[in-house]
Amino acid sequence: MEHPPYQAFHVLWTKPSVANGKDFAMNEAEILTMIVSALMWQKYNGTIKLYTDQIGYQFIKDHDLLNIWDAGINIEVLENNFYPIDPGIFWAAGKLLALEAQDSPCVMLDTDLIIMRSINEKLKNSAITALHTETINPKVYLNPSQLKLPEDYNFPGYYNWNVPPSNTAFLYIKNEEFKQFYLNESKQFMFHNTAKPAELVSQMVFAEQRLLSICADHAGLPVNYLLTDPFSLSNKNVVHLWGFKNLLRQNDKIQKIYSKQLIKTVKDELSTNLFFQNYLAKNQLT
Amino acid sequence: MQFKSKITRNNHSAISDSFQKIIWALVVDVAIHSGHFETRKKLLEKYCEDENLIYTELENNLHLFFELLEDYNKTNDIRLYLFLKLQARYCFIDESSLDFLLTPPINRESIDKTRNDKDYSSESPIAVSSVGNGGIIGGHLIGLY
Repeated sequence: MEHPPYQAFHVLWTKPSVANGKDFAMNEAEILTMIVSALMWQKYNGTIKLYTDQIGYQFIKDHDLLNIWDAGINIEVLENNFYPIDPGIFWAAGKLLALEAQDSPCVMLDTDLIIMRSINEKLKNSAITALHTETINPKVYLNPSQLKLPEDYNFPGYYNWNVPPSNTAFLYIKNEEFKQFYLNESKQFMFHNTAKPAELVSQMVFAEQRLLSICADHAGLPVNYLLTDPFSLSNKNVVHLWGFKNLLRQNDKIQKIYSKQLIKTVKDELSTNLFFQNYLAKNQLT
Repeated sequence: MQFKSKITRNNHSAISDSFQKIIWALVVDVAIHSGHFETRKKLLEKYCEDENLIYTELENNLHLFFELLEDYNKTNDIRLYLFLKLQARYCFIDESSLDFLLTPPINRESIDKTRNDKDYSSESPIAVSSVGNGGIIGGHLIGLY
């Protein structure tokens, strides 16, 4: 690595599964992606930590994955958090709780996103970097009058609803003060906000993705993006499973082919990584 | 006296034309004429031995190919199509021949667009449909097309 390490973190928050009465689960392809995500980050960009809860920790332990995060595993933050947030509605709030606990500068990295190269050039002069912009699809990013609000809550008048939301599967925040501002705005919206939306996306993407852009706009900080267009073929750095996870969960043949191909892609780069080589051997994936 | 090496190579390198034709004939027979893979296994095994390939690897790859082909024929889902093409490579099936077997996927034009875009060496951002990309951002980085 030719630059100071960037501190990243993954989050495995099992409360949303538990709240829905389901056991927490990841399929083999998702696990492999998470492993590659952590190891490639370490190879090219810095250190990485996992924030999880007790159930997530047990899952990681049962799958012999405790050693993939070189900056360790934190259970306390998510296990001992009692914020009044409904995990069924705000299913990605665990990421924001972990972000609150992690000092800036830091990178919040989804477990289904792999950074394949050094992105130092993208981050070194940036205050905020997210994955890419999102279009304001009115079925996903609802008009403010359609969002469910906590009692006695009103949107601040300075919110600019015209700025494009930011996909936060990757999020770098350099400045602690801005991070706290963003998280405080998000918490005010999420706390005691229990009215069920018609779908399970709009409330969460507002609290996480749209608010990031709104807060950055208010703070006068530009948001940079790793990708100008998510499906650009000029993208040389990022693999993100995104909605493809649904197909992986439905089709075990696709899982096998995807896993085989991902291993083929990174096997030379991780040829000296003992953990990865042992994982492949143990799971007969070589 | 000649000793045959017990080391077999991974099935990633090229194979002889004749073996490729045998595999293609098998694929056509199973996929179009409802032929049975089982009856051809001995022949495949013999070829693998001659070409120093790991037979079980090829057999598993062909099984996976046929299973996914069955899924694809029910849906014509473009994402399955892309993965079918990927799996075909592991079975030494020529990509251009494969289209002979497959009905075109829904949203075929997005694949053509992807191919056309890929011919450019420009660094400028090129947008392709999320459907044409199998839904994976950076699918091209793992060889999806």
